[in-house]
This record gives sequence, structure tokens and C-alpha cells, in this order.
Amino acid sequence: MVSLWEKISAWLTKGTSQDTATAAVPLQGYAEDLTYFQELFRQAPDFTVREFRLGVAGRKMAALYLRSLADEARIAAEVILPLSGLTALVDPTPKSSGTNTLRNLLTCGTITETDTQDDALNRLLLGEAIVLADGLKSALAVDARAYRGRSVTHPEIETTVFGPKIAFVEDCELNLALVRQLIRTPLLRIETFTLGKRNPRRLLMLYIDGLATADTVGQLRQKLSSVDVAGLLQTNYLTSLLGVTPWSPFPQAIQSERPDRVAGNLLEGRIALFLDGSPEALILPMGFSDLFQSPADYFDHYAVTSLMRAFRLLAFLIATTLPALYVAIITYNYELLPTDLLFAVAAARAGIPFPPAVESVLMLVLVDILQEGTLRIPSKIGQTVGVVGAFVLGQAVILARLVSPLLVIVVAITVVSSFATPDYRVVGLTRVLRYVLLAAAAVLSGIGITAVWTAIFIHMASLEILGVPYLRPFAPLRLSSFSDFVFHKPYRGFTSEQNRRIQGSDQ
Amino acid sequence: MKKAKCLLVLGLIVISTLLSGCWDALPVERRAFVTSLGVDWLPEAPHLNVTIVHPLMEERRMRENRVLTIRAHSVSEALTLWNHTNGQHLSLAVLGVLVIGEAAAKQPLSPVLNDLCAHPDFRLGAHVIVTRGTAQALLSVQPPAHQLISVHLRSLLDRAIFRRDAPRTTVSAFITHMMMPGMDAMTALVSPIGTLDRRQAEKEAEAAAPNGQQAGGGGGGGAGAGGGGNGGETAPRPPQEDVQVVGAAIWQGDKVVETLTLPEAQFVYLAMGKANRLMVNVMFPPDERLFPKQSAMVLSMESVTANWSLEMVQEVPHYTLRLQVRLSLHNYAGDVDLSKKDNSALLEKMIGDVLRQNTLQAVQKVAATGGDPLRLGQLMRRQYPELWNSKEWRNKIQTAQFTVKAEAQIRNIGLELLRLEPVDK
Amino acid sequence: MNPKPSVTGFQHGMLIISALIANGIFSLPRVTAEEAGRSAWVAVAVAGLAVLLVALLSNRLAGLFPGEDPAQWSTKLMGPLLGRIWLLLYLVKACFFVILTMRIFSAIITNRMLTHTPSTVFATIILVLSVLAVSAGINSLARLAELSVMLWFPLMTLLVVPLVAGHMVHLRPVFGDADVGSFLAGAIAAAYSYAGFDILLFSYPHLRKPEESVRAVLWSIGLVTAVYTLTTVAAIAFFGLEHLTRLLVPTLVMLSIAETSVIERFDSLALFMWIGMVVMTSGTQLYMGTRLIQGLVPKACFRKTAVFLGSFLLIASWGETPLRELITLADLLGTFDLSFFTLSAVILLPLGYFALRKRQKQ
Repeated sequence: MVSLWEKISAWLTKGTSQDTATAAVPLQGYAEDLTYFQELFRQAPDFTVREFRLGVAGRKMAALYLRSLADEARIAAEVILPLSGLTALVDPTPKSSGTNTLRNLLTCGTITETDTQDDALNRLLLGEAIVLADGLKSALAVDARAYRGRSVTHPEIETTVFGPKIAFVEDCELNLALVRQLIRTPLLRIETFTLGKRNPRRLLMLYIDGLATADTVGQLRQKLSSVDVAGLLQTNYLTSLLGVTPWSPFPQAIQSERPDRVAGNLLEGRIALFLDGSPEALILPMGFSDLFQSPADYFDHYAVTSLMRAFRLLAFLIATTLPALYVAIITYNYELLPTDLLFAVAAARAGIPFPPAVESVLMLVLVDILQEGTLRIPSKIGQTVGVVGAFVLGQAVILARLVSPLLVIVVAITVVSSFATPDYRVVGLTRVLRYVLLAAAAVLSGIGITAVWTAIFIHMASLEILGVPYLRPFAPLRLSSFSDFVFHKPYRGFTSEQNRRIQGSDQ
Repeated sequence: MKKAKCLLVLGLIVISTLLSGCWDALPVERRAFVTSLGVDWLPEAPHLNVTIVHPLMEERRMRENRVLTIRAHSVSEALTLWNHTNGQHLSLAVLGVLVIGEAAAKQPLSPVLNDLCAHPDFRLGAHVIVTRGTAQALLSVQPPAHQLISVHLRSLLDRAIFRRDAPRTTVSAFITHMMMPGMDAMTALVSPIGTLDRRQAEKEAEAAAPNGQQAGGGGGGGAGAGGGGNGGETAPRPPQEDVQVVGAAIWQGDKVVETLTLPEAQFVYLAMGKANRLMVNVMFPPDERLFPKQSAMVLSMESVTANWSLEMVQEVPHYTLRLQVRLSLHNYAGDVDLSKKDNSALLEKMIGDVLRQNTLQAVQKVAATGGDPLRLGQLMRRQYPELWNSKEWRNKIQTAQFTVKAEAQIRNIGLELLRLEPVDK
Repeated sequence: MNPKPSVTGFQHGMLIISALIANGIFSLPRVTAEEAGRSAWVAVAVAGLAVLLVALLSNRLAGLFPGEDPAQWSTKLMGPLLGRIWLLLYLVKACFFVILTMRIFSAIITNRMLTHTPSTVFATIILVLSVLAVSAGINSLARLAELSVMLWFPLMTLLVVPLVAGHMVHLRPVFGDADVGSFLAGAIAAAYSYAGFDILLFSYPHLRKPEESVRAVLWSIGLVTAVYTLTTVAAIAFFGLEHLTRLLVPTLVMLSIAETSVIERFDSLALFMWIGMVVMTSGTQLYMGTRLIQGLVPKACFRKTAVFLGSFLLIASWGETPLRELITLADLLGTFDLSFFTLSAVILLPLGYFALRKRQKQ
């Protein structure tokens, strides 16, 4: 773990050394460093400097920490007490009280030696305590972070009927523990990164050695170490920072709040990222097919799951294309409809003042506003507003003959379908695609729809996430991976490929 | 790199919006969907009388027919004329039936078909029907329950096809038949029924309605003029009527050369081998063993196989048809127990004889016209390619000799060994 | 461009299919039936076999220069001057193909469905999409080919409908009224529909396992031949020879007959869906064109060249040309294409072997 740290910090410094303004400044000496930090945190009431001496008359020492992040009691018990009180056995001469001796005396678990001001500062900001000692060139960073967050709760977005009822929280150490409970193998690799220069934030990268391909891990590692931002608050930012095509509307990483989903994906050879302060894990690389997988799938019968996955795909298609199809058929391609239906549609449209495209946009915008509005309203009355909006407005627009009754059905089906995909981000995606397709259909009939879909396919085909094609089970075609896409085959343990990879790594 | 891509996508959006002017956009309610098209021929120019039926698109009235008649030199002219006067876009995408009047059927139909096929959304799946009298009269029929006339006619043909007593010829099939010598088309011949009271009512309606939209409408032809709501005003509705299949029309290329009555047509279908489920009403001569007197019987064909063979004798085609029919009886008039094998064999022979006679008559009648719906010419083309001459075929078929051999087999169903009757009888 | 070869054998085959299938399928039954009569489908199958042979020879040719496409090996093989002339000829052919593919399809849409919209609108859309597809490189193009073929290929099942509704009498006698000459003429008329298989020369160097190429060529061209033959059989059976030879795009008319209770006109649907295949076909030709320009001007940036070539072709083909003329032009081009590749393969293959032996001796 420690050696890994050194490697990573080496990368980090390598990455940052190009930037002359923030070149690493080595620690200057006890007094200078103390003043430096005191000056830096002049207006921070939670910044604490506890000065003491090593043993009775040893060298001058100071423990620096932020009260809001660090656990004071632990610092007192594991840092100050051993160093100041229990040093009768120690030779007080400076020669024999180097960092190694100090390290031996400290009773806490994780101790890191640091020798630059920036690193010390970053650690301080992450909640560690910095122990400075007079006469030593380096300082010790003691991990005594206090946990000040909520406790583990039920998942709220990815709910399932069966299966574990645990969701991640904002603390990545705790999240790591949740994953560890499910994957008990030494092959689980955890790499830590500190992202953000002025506003450091810890990020854990988890993968199972041998299952995740070295190429993918290497690419992600390189990307993470080259991330250069002032501050990183949410995993969302990270997605766009890591994504190959930030402007793409397609989600490029799985976001999950469930430890079991993360564990499952790790076993499939993917990489999970935990950002401190963010209650979701980010799983990479992701493919288009992952948008249609729900954690509940694995607790259901495979036949049901297979059927539901097919329906989700269908729902995605409906949610994006149905309004466009309506407009195309009503405005141009009426010949597609069977005669009876055509006459029914024409009769329903008779007397509507707006052209079909305008009518559809009107209705879709109305529904989207309604949707957005109900999100903001407190949940107690939100439902009522939603129902009122849907029923009353729907009824009213038909009665006022502003839109045709058929369109109301079309819009209702569209909106309901857009919520059928398990990944919430798909709702946004379908919304964007829906308007684009609608515009294309309004000006160019069905040709416009297929042209836009072709463009979407072109975009998806060109998308690669960490070297893995976005459309993987389809293109390049992998029949073996299809067993967990639309068709969800009964679980029979590891696939032969996974077994081979694990054995390969063990040798 | 990414910039280029962004620019490309932006370019795509800009170009498509710039270039697209919605040239063809027209909402569905502003199109007039022609469901039936009738063609009549008038002796004096302009010869064509085109009847267009399209449903009224106003709500609650969509199932009513709007019948309009336009007189023009060609169908294309008539359609354009209609477009210009009405300002609505006429669409042939859901055309159900193309009705040809009796007089028009005797004129070449290919100009009409060419005009229609040039229409970009013309539906090739529309059915071709020949009517007795004029197409205008047929299309003015107001079917029961405010059904569209095209739907009514199509379901009539559907029922007929189930009973196998009318062919359902689509325009595309018709064109293929028309183009191929030696496999002429045969279409259903229909006639409006119950037209007695109607004329009076229609004349009143015509007098009441201003003759605004009819370019040359209401002209001669026969039974009646364009009825229905002309422009939306309510005319007194003619009494409900119906249409029925009365036979078949035999085409020669694009002209009708002969019409067959329904019984004749049925035997032609038998000779084609397309007569499963066909019900034939035949008269049997009196026979001392089976019938006391002459009697009619309804035969229901269960399966029919018709094998044609050809031999050339001194360049005269000799056709032989071997018919094998499995049928069930519905109203046997005699009182002989048919469950006995001898009796049924006797009856089978008799039925075979009657079928043979009737089929031969029908086939000979068809061949005498020079039309060839039985595809005898194609048989000749395959067997004697060196003698096949598509241009002389019409003359040749008129001299052809025919032999029919028929075998009937009565299909007994049920598990009774003998007829159920009182034992003391 | 792609340092790591990553096109799979399956994708290689799909690329070949997508390069072939959208060309001329709409008019194929008629143009062959005009020459070879009611046994036109035999001519189509024969043409498929001939193309397969040429494709296999081309495949061997590509195998002589591992990791290089024609843009790279042509000058090495034929010398700078002759190689450039060959490249130029090839480039002109590819350009004409792009133009004809998009123009014919656009003209069909304007003639059949959206009669008031200028066909240039559709041509523009197809070209923009093709450029977009090409600009991400061969890997993305190969994935797209895989996806498009798998998505659009089920449309072919619609051919069963006319096959069932047709009269088998139209097809008989099988080898009846055509002689060898008209068979050959029919096969040559079918050449345009088979044009574009040369994409294999360009995707070969990117193959992960080059040894899979032969198999991919066999099944892909075999499949296309089967589809074409089936289409021709269906068209002849459905229309009969006399009606068929009077239809400009018989395949489309045939599709319009297939009516179901959910969708009444499959021809419109087929036209919509087909745009994906047309983009693939013109995309593969555009890819080849771009690579060929790079062969002539080695420093040209791929992406910019593709955009430039696309816009050039669009402007060059601006205007409305009647469908009839386009199809006649296409037949000419098909004949040229087949002879160009047959000649190239026959002449270049011995040259390539010679060069290879010389290299090995050194």
C-alpha cells in the first residue's frame, strides 16, 4: 500500500512538475513550516496546532490538523500521548529520534512520510494530521480522519425487491469497506489518487487484477493522473473529464449506488472509481448495453429478465422516436398506416389549428415542464400536482381542440417509456434525442428519422471508452457477451474467459 | 480534432435545416384519400367519366362517401382537374378498388393504368372490378351502416374469394396478366342490386344540389348521376342498397371480350384448380337408381386438382384436363342409402359426368373468345416453345380442342356406419 | 492511421456486404432481365461467382503487402508514374460511385415518395452522413457496417412475400430462351450491383487476423449473391418478364405489394431504412477515395480530405438528373469497375509475386 502510494505520488509530482507556478516546495524546517501553515490557515478557526516535546525534553514537535476533519481524540491518544508521554525508553538525543523512531512510537495505523509543503497541505486538507518535528527534513502524516457522515442506508434510485439493501455513502473508505465485504480476494487492487490542486479530493480506483485488462487500467490511470482541475465535487464532473467525447449525449460511465452492482462489475473486469464526498461509484468502461441493465435483473428469473430487457430497449426506441414517427406519418408518410387507422387519425386531426409538428412540440414541452416542475415541488404535494397536470391538462387540451387525442396518447406513451430504462440518465438522453428526431421528422419525413438514427449509430460506433468500443456486444459482435445483454442467461458462475484470465494472473 | 467533429455535426444540422423546406409537408386531414375510382366510357368526346369516392374527413362523418364525377380525356386530367377545383391534395395511397364500367371495359384499359401508375403514391394493391352498367352507378351505392363503398366492395370480394366464386385481381396482378400473352386476366363482375327506388330520390337530390364541383358530371352512361353530399350539404339519402357478384369478366390483354355468368365462372375456377370451398349448384337428370326425377344438388368442393396436358395434332392444340374432385353433398334429393358403397360409387360417377360436361362447356366458351385466363398459352410456351407465337396465340386458342376427364369422390364425414333411420323402414 | 490492427474477420465481411448491397438492388432485376430474359437470375448468380473470383484474387494481392493498402503499395508495385495513374483512375471510379449511389437513391425518393423535395436535399444528407462515418476511421466504419447490416438485413425477408405471391410459370423454362451471349450480357449488366467489393483491399491491412479474410470474402459475397439472386427470382416470378422489363425500379414496386394489417406500404419503410445502407455504401467508397487521395498526396490529413472530397462530390453532382439516365450511367460504371479490377488483379498479381520474390532474395 505504502509503496503504491509512493509510486502514485511520484506520478502526481511528475504530472504537476510541468506547472512551474505550483512546483513542489520542500519542507523548510520546523519553525518555517509552522509559520507557513499558520499563515495559510490564518482565518480558519478549525485549524489546530498542538505543540509539544518529544518525551520530557526531546525535540520540539507540533501536530497540525483541521478539527472539522480529523478526530481530535484519536490524535490525542495515538499521536500526542505516545510521543510526549511514553518516551521514557527513548534516548532523547536527536540522532536516535529520526522519523523511523517516531513512526515506531505512533500507535495509529496509517502513517506516511511527506517532504513537500504541497503534499503536507493536501493531506491536511484531506483530514490527516501532520506531525512536524524540529530538526527533521520531513514530516509525518497520520491518518486520523474523523467520519462525519450519515450511516449506510437503503438504496434510493436502484431499488430492488430482493437482494442487499445497502447503498454507498459519501465516505470512500466506508464505501471501500462495503465492496470489500463482497469481494474477498487479495487480487482486488485499490489505487488512491488525489485530484484537484487547490481543493484536493481523494479518489479510489478499484479493479481485480487479472480480470481487468492491463491496457484499460493503464489508460485510466494515465487519464486520472493527468486530470488537472481546481476542484472536483461530483462524479459527474469526473465522467466528462475522463470521457473521450465530452459533448456526446450518451452516458459514458455506469453510476451506481449499490455495492453488489459494483462488485459484479468488478468481477466482469471493469474498474470502479470512488470519489470522496460522492455517494455513487463510477464504473468504467461502459457500453451502450449497460444502460439497459438493472441490478434487479440478477435477482429475477432469467426468462423474465430477458423479456424485460427487450422491452426496455423497445421503450427506449419508443421514447425517442414515437413523436417523430407521429409527425412523419401525419405530415408525409400516411401511406404506411392501414386504411381504417388512417381515416380514424384523419378524423381525429380534423379541426386542429396547428400543424402536427407544432402540436407535438407544444405538448412535449408542456410535459417536460410539468415533469421538471413536479421535481421541485415538495414530494407530499408533488404527486397531486403531477396527477392534476397530467389529467386536467390532457383533458383540457383535447376539449379545447388544441391537439388531437391521438397525440395525447402518443405523448403519454412516450413519457412513460422514457422512464422504463433503469438508468436515470437515459431519461435526459431520450429527451434530447426526441426533440432532434422530431425536428428531423418535421422537415424530412421518415427519411429524416432514419438519417438522424444513422447519425446516432455513426456516433456510437465511433465512441470508444478506454479503448473499449461503446457498442461492444453488437459491434464488434461478441456472441458470448450477448448472454448478459438482451438475453440474460441463467447464472453458471464465472465464464470460461473469466476463469482463464484469473488463472493466467495467478501463474 | 474534436473541433472538426463538432463543426461537422453543426454543419449537418445547419445544412439540413437550410435545405429542408418541408416541400411535401401536408397534414393528413388536408388530403383527400380516394378510396374508390370508377372509370366509364362515353361515346362522345371527352370519353372518360371518372368517378372519385373519398370519405368526408370531418369528425363523426368520416365514414360517409363523397362521390364526385369528372368528365375528361384521361384519368390524369380528371385527377388534376379535381385537385385544381378543390384545392385539396388528392391521394391514391389507400385506393381500394378500381371499378371499370361495362362500356369502359370494352375499350383499352392501358391508358388508364399508365395514368394511375404515374401517380407517385398509387396503390398497386387496389382491386380491379368490372361492373354491369356504369361504375358511377356502382360507386353511388350507399352500403349498409354507412360503410365506405371501397371497404364494402373489398369485403364482398373477400367473401367471394372464400367461396371461390370471384377472383381478387389486384392492379399489379392485372398488369402482369395484361402484359403476358397466354395468361389473361379474369376479374369479378359485380352489379348493384336494389336500384328500383333510387332513381327518383337521386333525381330529387340532383335537382336540389348546385352543380358546382362537377366538371362535366352527371352526364350519360346509364343508371344515375353522382349522388352523395356534394360539398357537404345534406341531400335526401338514397335507400340502402347492396352489391353482388354476378359473374366474371374475361379479358384479352386490356379489353374485356366476354362476361361469364356466375355458374359458368365457377366451372372455369374448377378448371383452374382454384376451387377449394367452392359451392356449385348443379342440375341432375332423372335417374331411376338414384333420383326419381330431375333434381338440383349443391356440391361443396373440398379439394380440387386440375391437371392440364397438351398435345399438338397437326399444329392444333389438343388440351386434356384431368379433374380430381373431393366433395361433400348438401342436399341429396333421392332416398337411396348413400352410405352403401355401390350407391355412392354410382353417384360419384354421375357427379363426375355432370362436372365434366359443365366444365367443358365453360372452357370452350372461354376459349372461343380468344381470351386465356386458364393460362393454356403458357402451357404451350413451355411444352412447345418452337410453336409458340405470342401474337398468333389468340387465333390459335379459338381452334383448340378440349377433353375433360373428371373423377369425383364423395367425402363422408361422421362416424355412422349406416344412415340413421327407423329400423322398421 | 490505425497503429493497432483491430478489424475482425466478421467486420471485414460485413464491410464488403455493406459496400455491395445498396448499389443497384432496386434496378438489378430489370437490367439483367433485359439482357438475359427469364433466366436472368442465373446471370445474376454467375456474375456473383465471377465477382467472387476477382475478389479472391484481389484478396491474394492485398496479402502480398501486409499492413498496406493500395494507396501505399501501388506506387511501390508499379513505379511512381504508373502507380499514380492507376490511383487516379481508381479515384475517379470511386468518386463516380459515390455520386451515383447517392444520386440514384435520392432520385428514387423524389420520384416515389417526396415528389416536391429536390433530390439534392437527400444527396446532401447522404454525403454528410457518409463523411461523418468515414472521418472516424476504418475501425468505426467497420463497426458501423456490422451494425447496419445486422439491422437492415432483416428487411430482406420482405422478399419472401412477392416470391409466394408470384407465378412460377414465369421462371420456366430455367435455361430456356437465352443463349450464352445474353447470359454474359446479363452478368455484365449486373456488375454495378456487385461493385464495391474492393473495400477488402483497404480493410485487409487492418485485419486482426489476416488469414480470416478469405473466409469473410467467401461468405459475404456469397450472401450478397444469394440476396441478389433471390431478388431477381422474386421479381421475375412476380411480374413476369414483360412487365418486369418495363419497370424502372422493380424491387421497390414489388415491396409495395406486401401489405400487412400494421404497415400497409413496405416500400416506404424500406426506403427509410435503406438510407443506412446507402450511407454505408457511399461511405466505403468515400473512404477508399480519401485513402487514394492520401496515396497521391501523402501529407493530406485524412479527416480534412474526407470533408473536402465529400463537399467536392456534392458540388460536382449538384442538380437534378433523371433517374433513368443515372441508372444507365451506373450500368456503364459497373462494367468499367468489373473490368478494371479483373485487369488489375490479373496484371498486378504476377507483378506482386515477382516483387515479393525480389524482396525475399534481398
